[in-house]
Formats: sequence, C-alpha cells, structure tokens
Amino acid sequence: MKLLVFAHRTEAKAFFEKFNFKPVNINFQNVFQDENLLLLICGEGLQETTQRLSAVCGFFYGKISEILNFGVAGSLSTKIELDKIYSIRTSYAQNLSKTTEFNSFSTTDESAKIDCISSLERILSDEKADTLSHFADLVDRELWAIGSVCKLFKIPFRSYKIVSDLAGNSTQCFDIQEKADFFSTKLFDFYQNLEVKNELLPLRNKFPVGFYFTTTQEKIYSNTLKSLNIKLQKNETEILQNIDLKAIGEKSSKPKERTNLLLEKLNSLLNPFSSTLQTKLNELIKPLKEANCSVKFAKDFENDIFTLNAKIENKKNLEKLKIALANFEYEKVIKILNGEF
Amino acid sequence: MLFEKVFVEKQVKENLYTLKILEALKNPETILIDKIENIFEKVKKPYLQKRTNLNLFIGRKEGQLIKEAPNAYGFSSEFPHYYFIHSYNCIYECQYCYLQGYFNSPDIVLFVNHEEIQEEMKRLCEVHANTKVWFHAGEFSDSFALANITQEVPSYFELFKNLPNAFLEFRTKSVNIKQIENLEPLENVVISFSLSPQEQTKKYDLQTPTFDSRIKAVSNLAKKGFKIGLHFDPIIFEENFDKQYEEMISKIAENVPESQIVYISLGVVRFTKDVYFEVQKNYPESEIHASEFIKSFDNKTRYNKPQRLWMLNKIKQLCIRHNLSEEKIYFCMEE
Repeated sequence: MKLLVFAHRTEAKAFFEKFNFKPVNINFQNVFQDENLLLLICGEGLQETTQRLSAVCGFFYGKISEILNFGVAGSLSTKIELDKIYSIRTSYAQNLSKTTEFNSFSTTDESAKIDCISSLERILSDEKADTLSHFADLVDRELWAIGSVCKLFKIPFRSYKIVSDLAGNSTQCFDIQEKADFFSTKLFDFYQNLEVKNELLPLRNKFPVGFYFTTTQEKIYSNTLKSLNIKLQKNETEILQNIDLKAIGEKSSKPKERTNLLLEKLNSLLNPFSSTLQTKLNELIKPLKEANCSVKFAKDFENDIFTLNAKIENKKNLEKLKIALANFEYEKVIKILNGEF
Repeated sequence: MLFEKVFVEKQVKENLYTLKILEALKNPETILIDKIENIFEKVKKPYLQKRTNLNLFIGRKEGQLIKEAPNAYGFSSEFPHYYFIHSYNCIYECQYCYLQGYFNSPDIVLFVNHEEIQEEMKRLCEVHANTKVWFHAGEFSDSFALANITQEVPSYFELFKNLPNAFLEFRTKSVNIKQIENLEPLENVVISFSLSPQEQTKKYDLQTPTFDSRIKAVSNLAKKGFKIGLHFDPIIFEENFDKQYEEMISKIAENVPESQIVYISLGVVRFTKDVYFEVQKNYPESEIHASEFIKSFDNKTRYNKPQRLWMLNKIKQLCIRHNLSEEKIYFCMEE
C-alpha cells in the first residue's frame, strides 16, 4: 500500500476529510490507516521526519509499496510560480555546519524538473535564501529525510510541493496558516488527478519444462536472459526457441547437468566470441584430456599461464601423456590467448 | 540558454576569457561566488540531470595545472606525455563515458587562467629541453565542443608556434571547427577525433555529431593541412563488428589524406568499477550490458584478454588493408 507523508496535519486536512483514516496503534501518534492507504504526519525538520518515517517503515515492513510526500515549500527562484504544485526531481539538504549534505535522493518521477533543498531552519533572510538557491529552486524542511529513509528501506518515493511564498525576508510577514485550507484542498485535488502508475510486477521467469534449477543456476539463467533480452529484443519464450531443448534433454539424464548445458547454450547466444574461443581451445587441449590430463587456464584468460593436472595410474597412462605433451601445440594456444585467430 | 545558472568566481570576473564566454552566451545573469568548489560537487547531482538542468561554472584552475599522463597514454611513449585541465565535464552524453563516475556533478566547469597553464607548459618544455614533449587537452572534457564559446584555442596555437619541440593534442568528438579552420596549421599541433562506427555512434554517443559529420570535419581539417590524430576508442564488440569497422575505416581512407594522419589509437571499452556502476544505473537498457566483462589486470572492467587483443588486431589489419600505415597505429591503455 502507499504511504502519504505530510509535515503538518493542516497540510493533510483535506485528506482526512475525504478518507476514513483511523489512528494506528504504534508508539507515537500521527500514523493513520485507511482501507488502502497509510498516512503519516512526520513533523517539521529532518530529525523528526527521519525518526517517525523510519519507525513507520519498520512497523509496516514489506507492506509499503511507495511513499508520496505532499507539502508546502518556499520558492528560491523567480522562475517558480506561487500556489503552483511542482513534482520534485532531487532532494538536497543543508547540514549542521550550514553547508550541504553530499548525498542527494531522487524521486521516481522522471518527468520532474525541479529540485528541493531541505533546510535546517526556516529561511527568513534573503542572504540564506540566496545561498540555498545555488542548489535548488524550492526549500522545505523534510524531503531529504524522506528520501534518505526511502533509500534505506528501498521504497520508491515521489514528492509534490505547493509553493507558498518566496523564501527570504518576506517569509517573516507571511502567515502560512491563513492559506492552510487552500493548500490542503489543492494538494488533495492534485492527488486525485495524479496518474497513479500501474505497479510493475517483477518479471518471473517461466523456466523450461524438465529442467531443474539450483539457486545459483536460477540467478545465472535470469541474468543471462536479461542480457539477451537487451541484446536481441526478444522475450524468454522467443529466446528459448533458438535452443534445441529436446536435444539437451537427450544428452544428459541428470537435471542439474541438463540445466548447465542449457546455460552454456544461452551463454553462447549472448557471448558468441567466448564460445568460439572456448571451442578453439578445447580442440587444442583435447589430446591432453584424452590422456587424463586436465588443463586449467588463468582466470578469465588474463594471462598466458595454464596449469596441467594429470592422473597417472600405470605406465601406459604415462606413455600416453608423454605423446600428448610431445604433440601439444603450445604456440597455437598462446596465439589464441593473444587474440590471434 | 544552454545553461540553467552561470556561476563566476569573483577573482576571474574581469578575466578576458570570462568576458568572452559571457559575451558568447549573450551576457546571461551571473551569480558571483568565492570558489567553484564551494558549490560544484558539494552535493551529489545526478548525472542525467545534464539533460535538463546544466549549470556553468567559470573560474581559475588551482593546484597542479598540468599532470603527467599515465603509461600507454599516447603515441610515441619514449617521450614524456602530460595532460592539462582547462575544463570539467562535457555537453555530450556518451553512455560509456568515464565522466559519469568521475565527478559528482555533470555541471560544466571552465577554467580561464590559460596564461598560467601556458606558462607552465613553457616551464615543462624547458625541463625537457633535450627531448620532445607532448601535451594533451580534453582529458576531462571535449576540447572543441564549446570552443566557439571559450575561444582559447587560438592562443594555444600561438604558443606552440614558438615551442617547436613540444606537441599539443586536442581531443574531440565535435564538429565545432569553424574557429580552428581559420588558424594556420602547425606541424606540432594535432587535432584528434574519436570515432566509432555509424551504428555505434548513434546508439552510444548521445547528443554528439553523427559519424558522417565527424568524418567531414576530419576531412576538412586534414585537407587544410592540419595534423590529425584518430582515436578508435572505445571499441565495443557487436556481432557485425568486422563489417562496422570495415565501413568506418574505408570511409576514413577515402576522405582523409593518409599523410596528414599522425597516429591512430585503438582502445577497447573499459570502465573503472565506479564508472561501470554509474553506466548500469544511468543506462540500464544499453546494449553495452549485453556483453561479458571481466575484472582485468588493472581492476578495470573489460572484455577478456583474448577478445580485446582479437578486436585490436582485427582493426589494425583493417587499417593496414586500407593503406593506413602500421607504424602510426598504437594500442591505448592495453598492457
């Protein structure tokens, strides 16, 4: 479910009127629940917001799909229109030494073009407003904390700010309470018209019938399919049509082995170069393998060193290995490892 | 305007190049600041915000103005190579660009203390009085993308007229060469263009001039007598890799007089860990990710060695087949 976050109850007034929010039994007040929505009054300032929002995210862990922040913000730029609602792109923050926090948090609204900086105090002078205006066009008191908690809990967030006034000297004469109802109603109307994006369900792989996947194999399968999807612009079913699953099934009776063969085939579709390289090397080391001698190349072929490991049970084995080594085409292997083929 | 906000350091507000830049930008409203670093990179500004919200900073480069280049950086490695920094970031948006992971902001920084940079070049030439010495521009920016605004290029040509043992390389993907075409070509100033096959340019080099327009620019400069460097970098593997490079190299051979080409540098795509993370974040659907990369000898993310060398050798052979001299070809940032 979605969680709506407001700094003050007055900003959420219209939402309380239109929905049937009931208090949630949690250690502190200001958390409410409707049938499909949660609402939090997070308070003013970064610390309070961080505390309350973290508690709510922990309490409802795994149940919150998205956080929507609605609130009032001050303008730091003449290009911003008063009383207009802006979707926020990135949130920045002032820190205790009155410079800026390095980390920033971006909302999921890719069409948003306005940034907001969360300040530690109300901005009551033009000088302070000028300093903050270097980083963002709007100033609030909590958004950065919301972004920070959302990152911690891996919850996507969006933020919509209605612009109350031009931050600076004039803020002192401005009484936000006078327009509280207007702001709240406007935010509610905006919320109602907001195009709520369909939640994308994570794509689940179908897995071909007759193949058993270990957790590791499943991960490799998903990653390879994802890359093949980008490369070939085809879905899982279409990609698997390029592979003779029946032939793989006939090659091995062991489910795990069958899956490994399938993964090899998928990998050769994705990385034909690696597949060619491996085939060429396999041809050259085949006589060694037949002589019970395995060949291990350097990790990712980053150097030309390789290790031979032979098992000799009798003299016949030794003679076979001697012949295989005498005929081993070392220069050809080195050439392949250096891309000369 | 190209820039959302223009910040100018107080100490350079009367600098000749500052005034030229502001004039070229039609004298926008500026914000005077003490130091660029008080604002630039103070916050982590997402890279892709360059699409809609790019700020400009004009200031003085402090600290080391010219730095020694890493090994395998340039042609003729027996000579000392240096790079100088007169700008940070770029207006282009190449999906593989290392600037994504280098700075914490995509905003453009232009340094205007070119006299100081040039004095340092003279000093280094004196240090290396008995040998040739190379200076490279464009390490953290494109040398020409904003050249019509920054207008410093003629002063470097002027300087290098009097530094016969020194060589200067400008690196670009831009076709912004009007200002350069009017200069007198010098034997020791090389204009280098980064080129990739047409299909790849379209896919990966967002906001950059097309391959054909780049070739036209290279051709124009070469025919006017400018020395040309070519960087086939980054080379990205695709299934029709040979065909793509065959087309590209044959176009170069047709349009650029070989005698004007000083070197051809070949470099296979590579990323530091941080840059690769940024590329994945910024361009999750890029075909670059549909490749098998490994952690290589220098901890960079690359193709495996056989593949890298196979690609480099293929392209080298294609160049030779098109009568581009083998001696001019070198592998960049490869063991």
